[in-house]
Amino acid sequence: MLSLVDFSVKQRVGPLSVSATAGQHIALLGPNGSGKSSLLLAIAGLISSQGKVELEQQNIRQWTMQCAAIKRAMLPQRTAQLLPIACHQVIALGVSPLNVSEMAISSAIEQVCSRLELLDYLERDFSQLSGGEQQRILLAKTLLQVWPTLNPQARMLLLDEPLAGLDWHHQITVLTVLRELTQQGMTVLTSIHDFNLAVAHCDIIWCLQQGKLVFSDSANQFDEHLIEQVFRLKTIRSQAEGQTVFIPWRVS
Amino acid sequence: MSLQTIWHKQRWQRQIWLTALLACLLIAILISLSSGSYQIGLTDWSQGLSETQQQVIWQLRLPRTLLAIAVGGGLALCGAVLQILLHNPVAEPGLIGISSGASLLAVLLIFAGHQWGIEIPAWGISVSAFVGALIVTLLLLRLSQRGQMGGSRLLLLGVAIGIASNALITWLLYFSDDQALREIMFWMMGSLAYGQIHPAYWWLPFILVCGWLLCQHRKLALLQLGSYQAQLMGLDLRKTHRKLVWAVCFISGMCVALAGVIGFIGLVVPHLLRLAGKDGPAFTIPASVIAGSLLLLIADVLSRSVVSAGELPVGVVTATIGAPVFIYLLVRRHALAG
Repeated sequence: MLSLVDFSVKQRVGPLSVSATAGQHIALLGPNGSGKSSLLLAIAGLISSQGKVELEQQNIRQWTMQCAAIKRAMLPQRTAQLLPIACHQVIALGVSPLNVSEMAISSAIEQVCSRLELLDYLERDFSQLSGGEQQRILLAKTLLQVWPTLNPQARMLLLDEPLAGLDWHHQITVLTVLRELTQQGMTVLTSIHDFNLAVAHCDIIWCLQQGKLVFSDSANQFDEHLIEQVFRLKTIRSQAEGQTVFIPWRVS
Repeated sequence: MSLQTIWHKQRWQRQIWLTALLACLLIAILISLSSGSYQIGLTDWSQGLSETQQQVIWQLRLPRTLLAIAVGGGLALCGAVLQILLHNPVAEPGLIGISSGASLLAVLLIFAGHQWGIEIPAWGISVSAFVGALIVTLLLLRLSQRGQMGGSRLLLLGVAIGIASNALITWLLYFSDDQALREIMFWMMGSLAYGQIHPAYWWLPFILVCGWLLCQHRKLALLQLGSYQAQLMGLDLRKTHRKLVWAVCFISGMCVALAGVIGFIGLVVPHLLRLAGKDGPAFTIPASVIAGSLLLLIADVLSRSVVSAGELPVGVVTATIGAPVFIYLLVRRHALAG
């Protein structure tokens, strides 16, 4: 269970109070600059924040950075990589906070990479890959840090736009892997720009507008009125194969 | 290919490279000990050395060779660490103002000595250069503490401090007499002729700090992915950052203090190794030390043998040979395009 009470990041987010039970995939929606990244960074403990933030009744702020690295993983937005390094070395950095055997590490890396279809990339130079490819490698590194066979203590996964730069095939692959992690009790908080993917693949939606939480409910309650209010965008709501689909129409 | 095989291959590659570099270094040491105005042939080595030869080696060439190894290795190590720490492929000790700050105090001392007619001992210049490096370090850390410890902030502060020191040095040069000018210029171009008079225990802290820095490759690998990523993996960023900056400043301060300003080694050596190995800090950090030593030793041998009378400043040699090689590699392999 993740709960925030009177939580705020100076000049960026909140104050907001919200909670989610364990094992749910939460989608964080909101226009550019609405505070999604700040919220994720603050929950991860990378920037300072006020108010209460608890994961399973434990105050996250009391964790040391090493302790936090075992309990949660986060994928921050990608920064440019200038120096060459092999992909398998980047991915293997994900286990550095953990104390596990080399055999376990290599089998877990192979599992994660086969799920994300990255096995052919292991020997390539990370700095020479395209944006989407780098994103998938970093995602593999982040997943490895909380991969259940390696780290049974992990409880939370924070992802800042993990799907940015990925093609549809890989977007759905990632969301499927995340679904499996939540089924094993992991709480996943993902910032995302695609309403349809959020509605179809996430359990809960938290929607931010200028740092304020304007919606926090199950994904099927999300509707076109909210989209118009928050994103200033008219959408057409449609049903296909029993699934709600929003089609962007025009700005309002 | 399975991950175990990849790891195995990588381990082999590292070992081969490090062994090859070490072998080259040994050969270069032999050449450095043998060459000079008093030649020692290969046969002399195998047949046993005469008393004069032993004296030349022990008292003149060995200290100088060891100095070249220490300074070359130290500068390359600092470059490799700074490039990761500051997220900038052109970072090196000269760029973040340490060399300039050290030069400023050394030049000030030479200038003052000539102005008042006091004979300044070589160790005095070394000490003042080292103090200069320390002052710059303190200034850098103090100023960059306000606000976030960002890489670009530290880099820009360093550049600004470097420009300010260089301006002050130019002032001093302008008011110097001819003899002081000559001495200052020679010191600033870097020479290994200074350090050999210092006793061995001077080097103990230097070796200890280098050793500590060599063990930090895990943290550097995390830092290479960016400061957020490093923190998320449990790294105490502020503490690590401060420790690394101190270590780098200490080593490069020592290097400038003992051998003057030798540019280029810190910049080029880590890049050459990255082009060769495509490997992370676990390889580039130790390999930089060996390759830096090797490069400076070769440059020193050349600086002693190219001109028949006297010697060239070794900094000139490293820059003259190194720059074209580096440009060639950059043009041929687009490895640094970013």
